Amino acid sequence: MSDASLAGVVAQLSDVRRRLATAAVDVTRARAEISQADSRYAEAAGDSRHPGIRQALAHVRWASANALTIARFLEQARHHFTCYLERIVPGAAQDDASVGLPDGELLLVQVRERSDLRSGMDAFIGRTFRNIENYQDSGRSTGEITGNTIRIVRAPRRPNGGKYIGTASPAVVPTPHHIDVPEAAGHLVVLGLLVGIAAQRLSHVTRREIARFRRRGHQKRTD
Amino acid sequence: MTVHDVKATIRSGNTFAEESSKMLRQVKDRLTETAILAHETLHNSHDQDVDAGLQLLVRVERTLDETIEILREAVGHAETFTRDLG
Amino acid sequence: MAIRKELTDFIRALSRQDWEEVDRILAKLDEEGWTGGAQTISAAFAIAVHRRFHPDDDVRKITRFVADVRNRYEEGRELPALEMEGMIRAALGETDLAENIDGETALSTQIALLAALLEDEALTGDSLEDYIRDVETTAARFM
Repeated sequence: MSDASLAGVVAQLSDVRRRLATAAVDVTRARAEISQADSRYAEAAGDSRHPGIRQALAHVRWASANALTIARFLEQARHHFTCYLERIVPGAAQDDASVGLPDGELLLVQVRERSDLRSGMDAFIGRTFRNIENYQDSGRSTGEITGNTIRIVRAPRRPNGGKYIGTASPAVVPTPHHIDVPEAAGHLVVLGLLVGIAAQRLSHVTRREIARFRRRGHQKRTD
Repeated sequence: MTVHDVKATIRSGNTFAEESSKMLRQVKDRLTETAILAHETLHNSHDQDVDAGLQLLVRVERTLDETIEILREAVGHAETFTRDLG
Repeated sequence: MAIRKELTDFIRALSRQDWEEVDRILAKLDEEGWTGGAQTISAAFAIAVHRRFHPDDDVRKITRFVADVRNRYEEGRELPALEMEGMIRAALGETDLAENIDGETALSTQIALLAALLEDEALTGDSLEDYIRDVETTAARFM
């Protein structure tokens, strides 16, 4: 690469880095607005169980968590471009992207605090909203899916490469039975992994056998 | 709080949610320009950091879209609550 | 809004591998409804993931853990490896990785991973109760 073109790359990349830093600050400011929305909704909600206000609150909390994720992604992207810049022109990335931004603003995008991790969790929980429509459409109940998974994880283990051995408790094989899920007054909330607020009517849910147990009375698996 | 107060508080919350949504849309618009600039500058680099940085910009855009939608839904839910208050 | 006691009891029973208690609670939840269940399981899973992993961890650590979980159980191979890794990474902050995982798979992978994480931690007494309180507080934000 010629010196002139290299200089051009450095200039443009520095511009990109500055824009990303600005974007991160702007997103953090947007997050502060979301936090205000959260406070207002929480105040209005009080102890109300109305799904509307509970959903509004859950959504702004999710949005807030996402905003922090976005700010983090922007900073990570900027870091990657900085690393590249330093490689092609050592010394070129002397944090010039900070020029023009108030010191206090830069502090807003510091990463890896405890609240950052908590916010990540909020984003994860809130994210699962998106799947609930798919889940509800599948027709399987939370109880069915949970029961089936529990069946897998409670089964005695198998050691590496050998016969499996399990826990010492006696075998219990409950018979399958039918459970009628009663309708709650008004709404029925079908829950899966995801926060289920939409009302659903469950007619009959056949509960799959929770324990299609494996043999019991084995020793614990040894490593 | 009276019903009137609750509605006023919700309206205030909605305003903040909508304002933040507007800010995020502006971020997205500017980010599109930034991503174009980044691609133009770096498309021949064949570098891991560059690839990672460009990938992150894609994820930022997706998460921005999602967050703007979430805020829209939040306001919608809050308005449902307000309507049901009578 | 508070999380129902049955849901935190479910997490406790899962932690203690008290399968009879798990059965009893699941029967009750099936009968009374699973309100708050998604929030509780997701919160329990996310917190357990953060106790075991850090967002800066090498992704191979997650891959090894998932392989171990699938090898632990007789029918562990039924559990989808890629989705399990995706769920853990999503809980650690890469939330967009959960985007294409359908609700049913998301639920089952979270429960399976939660069971393994809790088994490894073997929480008892105060440490178990601290964890449960954390789950309750986190899940309640989405009630």
